[in-house]
Amino acid sequence: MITLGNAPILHTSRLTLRAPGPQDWPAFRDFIAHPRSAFIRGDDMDEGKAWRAFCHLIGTWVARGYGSFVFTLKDKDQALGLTGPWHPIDWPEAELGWTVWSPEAEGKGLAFEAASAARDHAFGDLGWTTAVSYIDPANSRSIALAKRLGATRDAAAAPPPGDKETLVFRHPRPEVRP
Amino acid sequence: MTQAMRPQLIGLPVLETERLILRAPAATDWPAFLSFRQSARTAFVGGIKKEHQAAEQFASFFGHWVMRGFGRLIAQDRATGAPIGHFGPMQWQDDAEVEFTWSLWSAAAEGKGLALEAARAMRDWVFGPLGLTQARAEVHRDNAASHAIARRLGGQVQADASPNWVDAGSVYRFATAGAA
Repeated sequence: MITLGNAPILHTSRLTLRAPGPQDWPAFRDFIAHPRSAFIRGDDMDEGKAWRAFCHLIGTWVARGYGSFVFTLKDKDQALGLTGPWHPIDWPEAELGWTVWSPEAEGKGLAFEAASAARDHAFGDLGWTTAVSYIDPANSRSIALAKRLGATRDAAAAPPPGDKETLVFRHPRPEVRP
Repeated sequence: MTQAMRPQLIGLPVLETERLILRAPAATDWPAFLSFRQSARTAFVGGIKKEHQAAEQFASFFGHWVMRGFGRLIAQDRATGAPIGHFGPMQWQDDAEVEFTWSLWSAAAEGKGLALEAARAMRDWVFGPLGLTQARAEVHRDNAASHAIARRLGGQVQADASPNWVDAGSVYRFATAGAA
């Protein structure tokens, strides 16, 4: 059996954040097939592409040395979403991303709790000095989460490549957070 | 972050041949892979890719290992330590057959039988320790060197099959000695 080793595990009061693994594929597949993923998936996405994208999610942990975390409830190892560092090679800078895969995980502040831990990991363990989040202007829930995390619009920052209109939110460094 | 604590794959096989070591990909293989992926050598395997496409493909190699328990091995020259190409079984979809793949990354590695040496070790590992009993491969019509490797690995052309990702070419089938 081949496993990903040395990936950190983060803990919050209600959640565990860990690197994605094979057990998370069905939940990711269902999320990508569902309209709720419309804001983050490519227009030509299908299950084959989704599988490769999932391999990319896992593989970036090795290729970059860090990656995004699946978050689960502490006592139930079922992926509710994904959050954390994400930096495709052609993006202008590193992102702090989040997706909530399951509607049941909404409305409880879980994404905020997970993204807060991932952000602290990026600024702390990884030593980042800045981070952005790229958000579709129509994704009001995601914009609300960015604001709740203390991020603010950075209109001068370059968006990722592509034709889609994207808002850039920049996260404050820990020392200047209120 | 120290190298020892860097996230990495655990449980990986290492295959040894007379002149090569076949091991799982490492982050340090990226420059050589990118150089290959942006060279004319990719004409028979999807063509030149942009850097970000190559990076996604490279990262996907690691994820494939975790998802399937097998994946692409990098052949490393024993003498120089340099990575010379990738060889490995791939299965990009749950319902797809396992596919043998092989690519030499640079012209400097050609003409010495290294690709065949690596591909044989890969096949013997797949049909031996890995326990699979059959596989397929797709070879572009004009890729003579690759047709020769497919044949010498014991591949049989499946006349009624069309390749999926090669735009024109042959499908080879491989099976363990005991399999149908």
